[in-house]
Amino acid sequence: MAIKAQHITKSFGTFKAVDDLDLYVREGSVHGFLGPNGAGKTTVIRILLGLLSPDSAEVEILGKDLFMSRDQIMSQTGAIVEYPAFFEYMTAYENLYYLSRLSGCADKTMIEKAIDIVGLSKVRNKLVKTFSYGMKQRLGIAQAMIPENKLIFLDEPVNGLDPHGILDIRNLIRQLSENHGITVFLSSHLLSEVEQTCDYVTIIHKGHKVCEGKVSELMKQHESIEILTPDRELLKNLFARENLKIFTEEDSGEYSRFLIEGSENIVPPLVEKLVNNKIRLYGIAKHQKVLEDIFVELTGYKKDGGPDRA
Amino acid sequence: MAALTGLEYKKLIRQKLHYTGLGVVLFFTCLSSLGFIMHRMRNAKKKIEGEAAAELLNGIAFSMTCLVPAIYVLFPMIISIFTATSMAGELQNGQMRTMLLRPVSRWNVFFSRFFMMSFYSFFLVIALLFVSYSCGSVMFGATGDVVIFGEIFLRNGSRYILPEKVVFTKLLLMYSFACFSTIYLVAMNMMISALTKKVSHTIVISLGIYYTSYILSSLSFMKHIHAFLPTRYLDIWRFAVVRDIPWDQLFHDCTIDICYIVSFLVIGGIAFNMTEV
Repeated sequence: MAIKAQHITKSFGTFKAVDDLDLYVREGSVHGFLGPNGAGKTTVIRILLGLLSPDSAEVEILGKDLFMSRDQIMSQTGAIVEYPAFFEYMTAYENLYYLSRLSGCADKTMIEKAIDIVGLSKVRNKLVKTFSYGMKQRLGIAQAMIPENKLIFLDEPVNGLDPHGILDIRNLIRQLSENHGITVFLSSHLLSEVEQTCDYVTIIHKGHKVCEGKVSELMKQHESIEILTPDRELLKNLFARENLKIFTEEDSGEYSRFLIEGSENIVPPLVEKLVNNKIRLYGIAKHQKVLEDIFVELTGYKKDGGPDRA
Repeated sequence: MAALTGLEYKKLIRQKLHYTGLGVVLFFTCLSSLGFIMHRMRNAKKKIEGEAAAELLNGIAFSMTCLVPAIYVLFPMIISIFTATSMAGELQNGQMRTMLLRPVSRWNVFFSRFFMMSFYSFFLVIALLFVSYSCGSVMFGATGDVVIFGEIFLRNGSRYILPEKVVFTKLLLMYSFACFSTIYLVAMNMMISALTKKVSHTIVISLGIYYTSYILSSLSFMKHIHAFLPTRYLDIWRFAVVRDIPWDQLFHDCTIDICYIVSFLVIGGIAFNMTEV
């Protein structure tokens, strides 16, 4: 495990930002940390990086206790927390050189390589104050990579980026994991980002973990079958007899749309049953819930906007 | 620690703060020399203790006089603003977080800033010495006897002449003691930066404490609190211009100042270590 954290609790005054949260991140994976704004993502990251003292927590990063060996951990760990903050009066190269000197290892080749990976070679000698936000994000990832870090924390890395920038950063994150074996712990409130970038995901809401697992398995767990039929009552009777679970039911006048429990392998026998019971079928298909649906379901967020505080 | 201080100083150079500080020192010296020339002209025929006043207002006298308003007003302001920018500014803008994500101890970061700002304040004091003495030497002559006006240097009405053979040593001592006083100011600003974590708060609070203390110390009816004012023992540079330096009193005041400096640094360091970034 790259990160093994148990019982993380942190309060600000009377407000409990994180409540008894456990977190496990596998080595070499891209792990998404998903939650709505104010769920406690940044607080957890700051605790994991030793920037914030928790009320209680047992944290092991790269096999070492965070509170006993923070310096050893930080010599192999990089991060961007909230936003990339640099010394604006220095060039991109100078910033990386200065920060790697703080890590006790200022290898020029390594810095050049990091700049090259994030695609800032052409502007390496330009002052950071002339950089766009996207370029600063890239520089942030470069500084998180050096010196040869094994674990990188990225807090909302695509915030404020345009679609091209988002795509580039996503590719870069995958590249870090696949080509360089770096474990990436990525927090986001953007579901599409986690769905497309991460191998594993932890979903938190109001400081509590609501779900954890492999993204592909999580999506599979939430597969369903969509059936379009005008014979609403017949279908409901059949499902009652066969003990099949109906998730949702929408009536659009001419026909009804049902979402039922099951994956694509139940489609052929189901079609046979429907035909045998003379239920007219306008359409049947596997319905893949996107992470957004799962997130909404788990965190109680309403689709029409705003959290369900009830 | 030395490497980190060196890195911090490079940052200071890249920010071009040297030029800003030096610019202010030059501007201040130019204005002061103008005032000194006019004063010299108007008092050309006057005599002080049998010597021509104009002769007593030479380069050394000019450099000594320049230090007084600089150490009372100019340097505290510059040191406060630059320390606040360097410490609280980086805490406020997130650069400190970027630094603390590296395997570096917070004590080292705190003390490297302290040393860096101390060196910078020495640079300002030495720059003033160099600029004012060079300027004064060219305009008023390099050396000679120096008249000490108590109301300027000693907060009393005394007036006496220091002989030429001791004035250069006295000048160097005065500036050396002023360097020591700036350490006190840096330490106080470091502590307030670590406590407030905000640039504007640091500047307002530190200058507020500093100037309030000086104002109160000039009010004789408040003499009962004078001993407790934080700046009470700060102007040790004035001992240098006394005919016979009162070493006992100097040592006493320095000891109290050191106690203040250590307290500021310990409180500031603990606050910085506990800061959640």
